[in-house]
Order: sequence, then structure tokens, then C-alpha cells
Amino acid sequence: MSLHDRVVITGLGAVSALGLGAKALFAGSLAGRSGIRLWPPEAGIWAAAPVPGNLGPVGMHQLPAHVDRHVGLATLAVREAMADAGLENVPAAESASTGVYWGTGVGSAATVEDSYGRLHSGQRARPLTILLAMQNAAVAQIALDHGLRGPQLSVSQACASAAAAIGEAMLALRWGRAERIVVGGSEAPLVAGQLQAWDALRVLAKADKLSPEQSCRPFDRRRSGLVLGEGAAALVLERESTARRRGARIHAELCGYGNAGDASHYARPDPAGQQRAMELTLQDAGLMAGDIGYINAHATATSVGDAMEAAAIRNTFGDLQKAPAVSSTKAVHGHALGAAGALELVITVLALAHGECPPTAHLEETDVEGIDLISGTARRGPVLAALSNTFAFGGSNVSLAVRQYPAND
Amino acid sequence: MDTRQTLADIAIKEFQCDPEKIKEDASIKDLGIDSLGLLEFIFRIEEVFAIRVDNEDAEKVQTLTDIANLVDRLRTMAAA
Repeated sequence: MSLHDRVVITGLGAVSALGLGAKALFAGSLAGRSGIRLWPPEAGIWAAAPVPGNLGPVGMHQLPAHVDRHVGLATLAVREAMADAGLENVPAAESASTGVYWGTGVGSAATVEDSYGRLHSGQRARPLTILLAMQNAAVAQIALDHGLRGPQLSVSQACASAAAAIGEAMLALRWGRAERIVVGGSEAPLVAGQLQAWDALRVLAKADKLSPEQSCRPFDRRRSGLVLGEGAAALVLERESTARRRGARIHAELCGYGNAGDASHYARPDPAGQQRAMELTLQDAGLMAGDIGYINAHATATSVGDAMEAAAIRNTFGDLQKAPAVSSTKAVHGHALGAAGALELVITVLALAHGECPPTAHLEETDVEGIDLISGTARRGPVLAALSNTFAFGGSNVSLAVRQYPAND
Repeated sequence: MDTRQTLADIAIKEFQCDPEKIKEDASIKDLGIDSLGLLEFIFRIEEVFAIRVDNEDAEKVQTLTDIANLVDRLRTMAAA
């Protein structure tokens, strides 16, 4: 392949509807244990996937007052990832070569909603509204929190935000623009204005009042739409040489990135664009279709979206004797919008590392054909390489590939 | 109510400043209020005293006494 350094993943962190930590996210996904609840709790109008209990960022050490919830969640996830990577204290000499690339689609939803609430009730805007609501607030906070002075990029590409940020960071590392980049995404869209707007678009799942935790059913005939979730996930990416020099533990190699636009519709997905994203990723990674053992699908449980993605996967892998196993973990952690690509990449990396792929929870009446869906219980067995698909409104398709490290090739 | 006492109460109760450090000449920075915190602090006293602090004046204040003098001046002007 090319002469550039490989890019490896040395740290993982997450906070989601499945709890605090990457382990909780993966364990909940494997077990099909859903974090979806009725929301808001007192009225129970919608189904949503909130971060449970008091795991949120309230009162965190060294976090400014009034920081937006998505920035607080980002801080939690990054602190875990940095500790996991053995980088609680980044050496001063490495600060300028350690960057932050981060994705968020909605951004500071609660801060913006509070601001409009004040505007329409005759109150003045708070003094820090601009700083707390800026789309790169999480990047700023992460860099401050860990003293990272390397390159920064804040990506807002709807649901593909984090996935695109991660892919672009991989490219920057290959080009030697930094030695290490902290990547991921965060989203906290569970405020009334957001829920109403998503509801008005007619894409939200009907809340299952008897079993709210089963309201999101990707690939199932009974699916009725997506369930909004909140959360953040972070990964520490390093050039292979940098990671090896410091003897870091390596979870997996991030080896492929594809980014393809549809230019066909604001909201309707296009299997051709999705297929191109997956094919570009395989090409970038130097992998054959047959190397992919698992795909964490974007599948949000909308009627059109799941069928389109199944078609794209069939078209990309269909003629193989042994097609990759596919599941959508959104059934348990909901759709965390701009953070989705990071949360699901963390799950994909852990699936690879543990040789255990999570099922699509509550999947009993499959209505897509020609792909190997995991349902019921997790599937055990070694996986050489895996994809995480993330597709966005606006016709934006991103696929990321990870493979076992060290590679067997 | 005394301006200085009101400012001290806000600093302690709303900005978690150490009561021990509240002195006439204590700098706002030493109280643990950084430049962004000062924006919030002035925003709050504008509400409490029903005054409007000019940007030029907001930039100059260094101590709680500076703020107290500023508040008293603005209130006197408003009353006149």
C-alpha cells in the first residue's frame, strides 16, 4: 500500500443512554438492553434515549458554569478516552502535535432554546450565550481541558458529523499534520423545540406506551421511525509510530474512510451514494469486500432509510458467499444524531476486539432481504475488519473501516 | 441595602467565592472570577441594581470596591 503511517485507536470513551463508559455502551448493545424511555418523563409524549440518572455533566470538576449539555457529555467521554489511552497528562512537548476534531449536528440545543425563551419573555440574553452556543464549543472545551494545542476542526454535517470528523482526522494523521488527534462527537437534542421539530418532519417513532424501551425497531416490519438519543463518544487516534514509541495499547487500526454525497434530495437516502461511501472506504483501506465481517448499520428505523441501506449493502457485498453480519444498535441507544458515528464506531471497535457482534434488539419480523442481520443474541466469532456506516440528511454518506491490529496481512 | 454587602453576597452565594477572601482591595481575579466570570457578574449586578454598565467601565474594574464605586455612581446618576 502507500508509504504513510497507519492510524491506530488507543483510547475509547462514551456516555450514552446505556450509561457512563464505553464498556456500558458495548455491554448494553451486546445484551440488547435498551436505554429508550418515554420523554419527557412526566408527560411521556415521545420515546427518547436520555443519558440515565445523574450521569450528566452537572457539577463536573473544572467545567465552566452554564456550559451546554452536549459539551459536558463530550468532556466526560474525552476524559475517559484519554485515561484509557494513558494520556491523563499529555506531555508539554506533545501538546502542539495533539489535535481535536469533533462533530456535532445540532450543537448547543439547550443553550439556544434557553436563549430564545429569554428573548420571547422580555429577558436579556445571557453574557456567554455566543461562546456556549458556538458550534465549536466542544472543541474549545476539550482542548482547554487537556491542554491540546494541535490542529482543530469542528464538523457539522448533520448525522454524519462525528463520522466525517473521525475520517478527516485519519487523513490529517496520515499526512503528518499531527501525531495524535482526539476525535468523536456529542449531541444533546432532548429539548422540547428539537423534539417538536423532528416530530413535524414525521420521522419520529411512535412511542410504544406498553414497552417504551422497544420503540425503536430497525429492520423490523413494525418500525415506525427513529428515536432521538443523547450522548458523546471519543476516540484517541495516533500515528502508528507515535503509539508504538510510547508503548500504547492499541484497540484496532482505523484504516478506511469514504465520504460520498447524493445530490439528489434533502432527506431521502440514495443507495447509490451509500454504496459509493462503502466502496471508497474499502478501497482506501486496501480491503476486499470479503474481509468485512461486520457492519454497524446506520439504520435508524425509518421505513425508507432501512430498506435503502439494506439495498446499498446488498449491492456492495451481495455476490459474496459469506456476506458480512449486519446490525443496528440504535434500537438500544437511540439516534444520537451528530454523535452517532462516534458512538457506533466505539461499538464496532469493541466488537472487533472482543470477537462479539451486537444484535439489532427487538428484531423479530424482518422486512428487508438479502443481508445477514444479527437478531436475538450477539454473534460470536473472530472478525478481521468491520465497517461503521453513518448517513445524514443533506445526502451525506460516510463509512469508516477498522481492522484487527496487528493486521494479519 | 449597602452596595458592598450586596456585592459580597452575590460573590459568595452565586459565584462560590471564598468569604475569607472578600476584602476591600481584593482583586476580582483573586476571588476566582475570571474574565468570563466577570461578564456574568456585571450582568447580574445590572439586574440587581437596575443599572447599565458601559463596556468602557466594565473593562476597567479590578476589585470589588471598583465595582461598588461604579454601582454607586450609576445609581446616583440614575436618581439625579
